[in-house]
Parts: sequence; C-alpha cells; structure tokens
Amino acid sequence: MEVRQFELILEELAPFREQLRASLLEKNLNGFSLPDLTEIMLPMDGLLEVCQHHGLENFVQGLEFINDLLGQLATESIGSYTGMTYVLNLYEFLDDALDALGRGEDKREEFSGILGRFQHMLEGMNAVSEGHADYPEEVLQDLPTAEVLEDGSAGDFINEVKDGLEAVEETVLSLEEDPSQKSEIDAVFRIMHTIKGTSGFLGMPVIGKVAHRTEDILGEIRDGKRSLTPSVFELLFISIDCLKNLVDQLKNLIEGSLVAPVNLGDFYQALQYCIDHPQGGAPEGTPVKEEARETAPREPEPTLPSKESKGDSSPPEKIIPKRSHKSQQAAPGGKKIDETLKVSATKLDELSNLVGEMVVALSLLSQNPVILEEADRSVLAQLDHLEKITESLRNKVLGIRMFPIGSVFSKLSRQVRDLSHKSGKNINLVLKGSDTLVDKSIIDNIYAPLMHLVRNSIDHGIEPAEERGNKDPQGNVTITAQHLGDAIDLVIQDDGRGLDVEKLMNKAVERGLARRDREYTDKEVYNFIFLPGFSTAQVVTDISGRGVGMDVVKKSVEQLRGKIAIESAKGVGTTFRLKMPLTTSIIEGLVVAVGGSRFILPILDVNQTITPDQADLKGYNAQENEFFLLQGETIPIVRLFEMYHLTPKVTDPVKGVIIVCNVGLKRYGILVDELLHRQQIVIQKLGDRFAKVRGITGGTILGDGRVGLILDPVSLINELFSKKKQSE
Amino acid sequence: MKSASRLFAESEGKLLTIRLGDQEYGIPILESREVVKMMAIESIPQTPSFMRGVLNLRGHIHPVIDLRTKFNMPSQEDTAETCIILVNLHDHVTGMIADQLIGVTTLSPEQFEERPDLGQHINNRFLLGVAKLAERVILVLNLDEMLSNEELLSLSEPHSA
Repeated sequence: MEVRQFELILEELAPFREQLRASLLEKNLNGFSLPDLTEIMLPMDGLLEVCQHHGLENFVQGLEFINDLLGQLATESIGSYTGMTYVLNLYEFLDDALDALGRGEDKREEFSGILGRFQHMLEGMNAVSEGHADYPEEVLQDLPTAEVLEDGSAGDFINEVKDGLEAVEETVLSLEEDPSQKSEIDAVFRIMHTIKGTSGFLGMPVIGKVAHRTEDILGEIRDGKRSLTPSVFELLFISIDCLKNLVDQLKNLIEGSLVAPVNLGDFYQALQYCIDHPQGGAPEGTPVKEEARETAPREPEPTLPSKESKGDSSPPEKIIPKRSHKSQQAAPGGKKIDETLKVSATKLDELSNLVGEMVVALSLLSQNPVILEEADRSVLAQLDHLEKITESLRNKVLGIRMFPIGSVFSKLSRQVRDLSHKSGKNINLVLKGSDTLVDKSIIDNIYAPLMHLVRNSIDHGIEPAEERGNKDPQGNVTITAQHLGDAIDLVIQDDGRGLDVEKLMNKAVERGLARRDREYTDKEVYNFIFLPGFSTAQVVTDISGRGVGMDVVKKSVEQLRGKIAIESAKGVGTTFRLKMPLTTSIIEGLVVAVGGSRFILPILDVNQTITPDQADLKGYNAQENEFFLLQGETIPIVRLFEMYHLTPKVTDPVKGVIIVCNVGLKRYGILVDELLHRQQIVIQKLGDRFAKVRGITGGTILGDGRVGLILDPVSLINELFSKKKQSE
Repeated sequence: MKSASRLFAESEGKLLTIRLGDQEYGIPILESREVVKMMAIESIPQTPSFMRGVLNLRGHIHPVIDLRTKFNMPSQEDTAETCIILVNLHDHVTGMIADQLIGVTTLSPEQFEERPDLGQHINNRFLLGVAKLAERVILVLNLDEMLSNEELLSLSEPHSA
C-alpha cells in the first residue's frame, strides 16, 4: 500500500483518535470510573470499522482484543486497574504503529507481535488467578503502570534489585563457608526489606511477596529464633534465583521482548519446609556445632528438589562495581565500601569520544609543518608535556570502563555449587586472577560462554568419583584470568577424562562433518566440537548437551573479537583457552597499504606475515601463484586489490607481503603492498550507509588524520569463497 | 512535516547555496551543518560510484558523496573553490562535494515554486522546488530523498574502478 493511501486512512481515523486521546490517554488510571467506558468504547468502535474497511488486519485484531477487554471491564470480570493497564498500554502501541504508518514505516508486524504477547500475558494471568490463588507455581507479572515506566523508576528498581541480589548472593555464599559471621545476615535482611518496600510502592506484588517471605525467615535468624541450617541456605539461594528471574521477566516485559513465566514452586516448597521445621532457638550457634558442620560432607540433610535457575540472568547494567569485601575479618557490619558515583554510560562514552578526538587533534598538531620546523625548545617541551598529560588522561578514561572480572567469577562459583549438587560430582572450583581488569562490554557478555564451558567441563569432562582412578576423587576446574600483552587470557582447565579423539571422529563422520578417508590431526578433530549441531553427550542432561552448545560459545567469543582454542590429553584433562581483547572499542591492529588505501588487520586475526619464495608459489592452469606452501600447508592467496578494485603497487606475491590469517582452522594469505606499522586503534562504526560492504567492520583515524578501514578476514574470505562457489 | 514546508517553517526560507557546473543549488539552512574545504577522502570498496568515500572530521568518520557524479555530470579536477558541505539529516552527518560555495539567500514564499514540472526529461525527485530571484534560478535540493538509506544503498553492487 502506498504511503499516500495510509495518509488518507489516517485522516479518517483522526477524529476517533482525537477523542481517545481526551478520554483515554489523559485519564488517570485511578480516577477511572465505569461511565468512562462508553467514552472509550465508541471511538474504539469507530477505529475498528475504519480498519476493517481498509483491511488492516493486524489492527483489527488488536482493536477486537481491546473491545473484548473493555467488555470484561464492563461486566467486572476483570479488575478495573489491571484491565485498564492492558487497554492503555496496548492502545499506546497501536497509536504508535499508526503514527509510524503515516511516516511510511510499517510496524504492523511488530504490533502483531506485541498483541500476541499481551494476549499471552492475559491468559497467563487468568490462569494464575483461577488456579492457584495462594501458591502460584508459574507466575507472569503485570506490566507496571505507565507512570512508573515513564519516570524511569521501574528501570531504577530493576538495577537496584539486581545490585542488591548480587550483594546478597555474595554474602550468603561466604556465610555458608563461614557461618560464624552471622551478623552479616543483617545486611541481607536490610536488602530484602528494601526490595519488599520498593516493589510494594511501585506496585509489583509478586516480587514483594517473595522478598517478604524471605525477609520473615531472615528476621527469625536475626532474632536468634532459627539457626543457619543447610535448608535455610537452600531457601535463600532459591529465593535469590526466583527474584532474579522475576526481575528479568519484568525487564523483558518492559522492553517488550519475549516473556516466559517464572516458576515459584520451588520457593514455596522450600519455604514450607523451613516453616515446618522450625529450629530450636540457638542464638549463637555453639562452636562445636559449627565445626561439625564444616567437616561434614557437603550433602545437606534435606533433599530439596533444586531446579536449575531458568535462563541465566544477564549481568546487571551497573556502572559502579560493588567492591568485593577483601577484609573478611573486618568488624561485622563495618564493611568498607568505596565511595562511588553513578554515572550514565552515555556520558562516559561521550567523554571517551572527546578524549579520542583530543588525541587525534594533538597528533595532527605535533605533525604540523610549522611545529616540526619550530626551533624553540620551550615550545617543543611544552607540547611534549601536553602529549604526556593527554596520554595519561586517555588511559584514565579508558580505565573507567574497566572492571575486575571477579563479578563474573562469583556468579560462576554459585552455578558450580548448584551443578556440583545436581551432577553428584564433587567439584572444586579454583578461580585465579579475579582482580584482572576487563572492559565492561566484555564483562557483560563473557559470562554465558564461560558458564557453558564450565558446565561442559563438569558434565562431560570430570568423571564420576569412582572412575577417576589414581586422580584426586574431587574434580578440579580451574579458571584463570590474566593480562597477556594487549589481550586477556582466560583459561578454563579441568582434570577430567579429556577429549576422546576417536569418539569425536565417529560423531563427526556420522553427522557428515568429516570424511573417513581423510587424515585429521588431533587438533582438527577437537575443533569439530565448535561446529553447529555437534554434541557428544550420549545422554542429554539438563546441564549441557543440548547440541547448540559449543558453536554458540565460539560465536559469542568471536563477537567480542576474541579467539578460542582447545588443548586436551586423554585421561589428564581438557583446557579451553580464550584470548580476548582488553576492550571491544580499542584493538591492536596491523596497518597495511594496498595502492593508496590503508587497511587495518586486527592483530588477533593475524597468524604471521611472510614474503614467500618463488619456489613455494604454486598454481595450475597457467596461474602460477594462486597459493603457496607454508610449513607444508597450502595457503590460498587472497588478492585484496582484485576484490576491492584497487590499483596496487605490487601484484607479484614475491614482491609484496602476505598476511597469514586464521579463518576457522584453515589459513589464508592476504596479499598487500607493504606493512606500515602496528598501532592501537579506536574502532568507529561506518554506519548503516556502508552496511552492505563485505569484509570491513569499521574505520579508524590514523596518525596522519586520514581514515583507515578495518578488515575482518573471516567475513572477507567467506564472502570471496561463497562468490567463487556461485560462479562455479 | 514535509520537507518543503520545513523550508519556511524551520529554516525561515534561508538557503545555503552552492554552484555545480553552471547551476546554483540551494540547501535549507537548518539541514546544513558546516562547510569545509576539500580534504583527504578515503574511498570505500563496493559502494556506488557517487559515494566518494569517508572523511575524518575532527575524529569522526562521515561518508561523502560526489554531487557531480550523483547528477551524472562529467567529473572535473578539484579546484581551490571545491568544497564539502556537511549536512545533518536524521542524525546522520553526510558530506557533499560541490564546485563552489556561494552564500546564504533568504527566500520569500512567493519566490518559491514547489516541484514544478520541468519537462519530460527531468526527474525532479531530488528537488524540493525552484526559487526564482531577480537574476538567479536556484534549484532547492530535497536531501530527505537524496540521502535516504535506500538511495545510498541502492547501487551498492561493486562498480568497476
């Protein structure tokens, strides 16, 4: 349909929308009364008619749903508050989609998606209120009121709860290690209390209820009416999980992404257990008792059905990290917290952009001919000083975005604790280098791949205790983080059974990923596990082995511009090595020239640079230099100038330089005129104007103020060879 | 608001005018951001021929299009007059290479005709309209249309160099 046609339809709709604006949008939810319904229903009917007439199916469905809701409101079969929240919110989306049509954007599909979610939510809500009034297992929360959404308090609340829960989790974990720090429970109690209060205030009853029940138990502990039994810890962990899931659900709800119900069954079951088993008042757990608990095997006496928390909670969007309390022996309650400020991430980005501009401006100034010829030493000395200050300013600004990786580690140790229980394997997790500083964007995204690797190690790597032979019956998983040059080295190592080359090979052949008649090195075989659809688990457990695992891990690592490699020895263990850049916005790059253009290759992609001997160049069909031999491997030569229609200085590989890059397991050589230098570059996006250009991920300003293009060897080579296949 | 009515409502009829060949063109003043003299432009592979490349303006990378190529005019050597007009539309900054910067002109609504029919050979898709002054005829450009993503991506097949 033409935009013009939509304009006509919108004109027809305008009077009805005007009425609705008056009767609906400007009406306060609380001041709503039944007679108002007719004021809403009439224009809605008008809208419905027009939409039906013009065949706007998506909107017809939406309006019918709204009318249905209004009907339910009139017959009072739905609460007026809830009903109106739905009507208001859905109408706002509809209004928005109509406006978009006027601008020539088609949001109808999107609207249908939103409508589907609303219907789903309402169904879920009805089911909840009908079925289990008191102990709902599956819970879908209501969308908060428009007011709360608009003034941002919902977002603040989510961040606050996430921060709070992280602190609670840390405290409860350390309490479990050392129950003598009982006064720490005060802090947990306070946080739960705040969550309860705020959620009540903002109208989020489900979160409030869970926090309230947990607070009750905590209160009893604080008052000495209950002692810290394993079942209490279990309850606390379940409660933390439930609250996290609820907050995530809320976040999804607000952002309009897919919403899954949260299961609170475990929580109520654990709660009931705790209520049914009140512990005798032991205000100060006697030392003897505690020691006994410490040496006792880590099997709690109650066997509560602990379920894996649904969906790993995404890391909270916080800027100020909670310093992990290093002084464990500090006076109870007197935890020292660095004074911090909350600053919006946008402001930080602006700041670092400005500093970036300043560095470029300064380098232009110092390369200015007038300055270069300047003989006055004091001018040069002052300029030098300014450069030093600018450099340290830049480092400081970049440092603001860097946080210790410990926050990711503490989440991991929590998961390992649960997995250890569930898999029945006794796992000892060792974390090294938790104070390693990493860019926030990496912290935010590294947890999921790391968790998957750790799960794999526990589920597939570590043998059950009786199969471990001479090894320590306790399985060891070690995660190490350290800076290695300009990269971060993350190593996940287990002392399990190691990868079984034969089994992997069989599987790969079975899946059609490998050929029996070819020889593969062990390393090649290991790398099969990164192929999509490859899973070696004989039994698919709920811990791992869903078959989507490792390829997703690899993808998410690569998205962060990192690399992943495997080492393994049968019977000794498996090691995954992740090499991540320090930040995702700054990379170490190799600047090369082709003709008059300069390109940057990320150093992590570069395997080596070489100028081949004539004798190593091979080819056939009168094309004698299509590939060359390097350490016995054939390396195809990629001619950038052909692909990008440039006029190079060098076309003969013997006279130029070949940059050997790893793409998957294969190596390719990119022919360039010359290597210029290596430098840290700030990646700038080129924008959607250049979205269709293949092989280039961005641009950067080089030292002389000109623009260099950043190459992505992987997509460059994939593009080249997919084209070749097409033309064959 | 449609681009043509924006010319008077927002830019108060003020045009930044440039020369391209023998013709004077106008850009609504509020859509223009700044004018810089010709500077180094890095070409980007696999883009339409009128896409000259990208430039570095105080540390930010912006695309630059060549108006001569865009309007199918023969290209010519850069002169001292050649300049880049940076325009700001939909939060994107884009540079346009013109032969010369002329200046700022204020139009009254009577002097402006919205998208007149210019004969069967002229596609007036990229024009907001024509301004007729005492001795000058200014073609007012419709940047919305010229710089839309669809337009800029339309020819994104590799062109031979």
